[in-house]
Amino acid sequence: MSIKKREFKVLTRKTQTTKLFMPMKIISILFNLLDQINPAQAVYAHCDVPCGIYDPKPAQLAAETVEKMVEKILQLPSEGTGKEILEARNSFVRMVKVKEEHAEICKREVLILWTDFFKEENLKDFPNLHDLVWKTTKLCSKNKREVNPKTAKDLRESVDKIAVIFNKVKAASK
Amino acid sequence: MTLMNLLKSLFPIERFKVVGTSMIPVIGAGQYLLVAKKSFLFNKPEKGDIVVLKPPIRSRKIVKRVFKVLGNKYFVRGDNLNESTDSRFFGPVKAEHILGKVLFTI
Repeated sequence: MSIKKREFKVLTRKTQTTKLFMPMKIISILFNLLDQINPAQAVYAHCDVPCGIYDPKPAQLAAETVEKMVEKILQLPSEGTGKEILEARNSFVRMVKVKEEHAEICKREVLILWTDFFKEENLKDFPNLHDLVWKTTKLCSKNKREVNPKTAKDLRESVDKIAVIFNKVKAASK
Repeated sequence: MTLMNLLKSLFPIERFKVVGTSMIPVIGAGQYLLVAKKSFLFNKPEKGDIVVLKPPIRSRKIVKRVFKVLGNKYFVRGDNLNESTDSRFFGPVKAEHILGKVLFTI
């Protein structure tokens, strides 16, 4: 008797599951199909408060600072009196420190735009965006390792390109 | 206006697809909503209703829950408060900005 009862319960539960979920699955499939023919309107349920305060300017300023520091480091005298050499060494350390810090700031600012501002749909309009951001952040690291005017110029130009895309995306979303 | 658009505008129910997570756990990203467009012609939105609206300063349609009714204005919030831009940001909205009530989620 007890076995029969148990079997009955299992059967009931199974039947209920089938009754409850199969129609939902079918409806879901139908909706997906319908969406292919006639896409549903998008309705947004997201947070866009910080969009108003995103700006590529900090990244651009940091990239310009890196370029300026490279330029100044290369202008430092390599010869001179003891005092001049000491001053040049002091300046060298300070400039390298500023270059290092601003390359890091640049990388962080670009990544903030990448992770928080740009959306998946922006990749459709700007298919090179992913590659551009990736290469720009790599250039930030390269500028830490090197004192090379070309690397610094490449970084500034890459950040400027991101700023152009940023402004286009922002203008389109208004 | 094409015939399809005309039919769509006359049809009382509209399909929407959700983008974003501000209505989690009730509505997740990618879910479909069936929205009764004309429901508020007969009954005013009530506290607890999930509605689709177009606030005056946003260009996009959003989905939120009516949190408070303030006379002829409605204070709406997302269920997931940490990831929601709602009346806490753009203030209460008038009834005319509410497009319809969410009937089903799929």
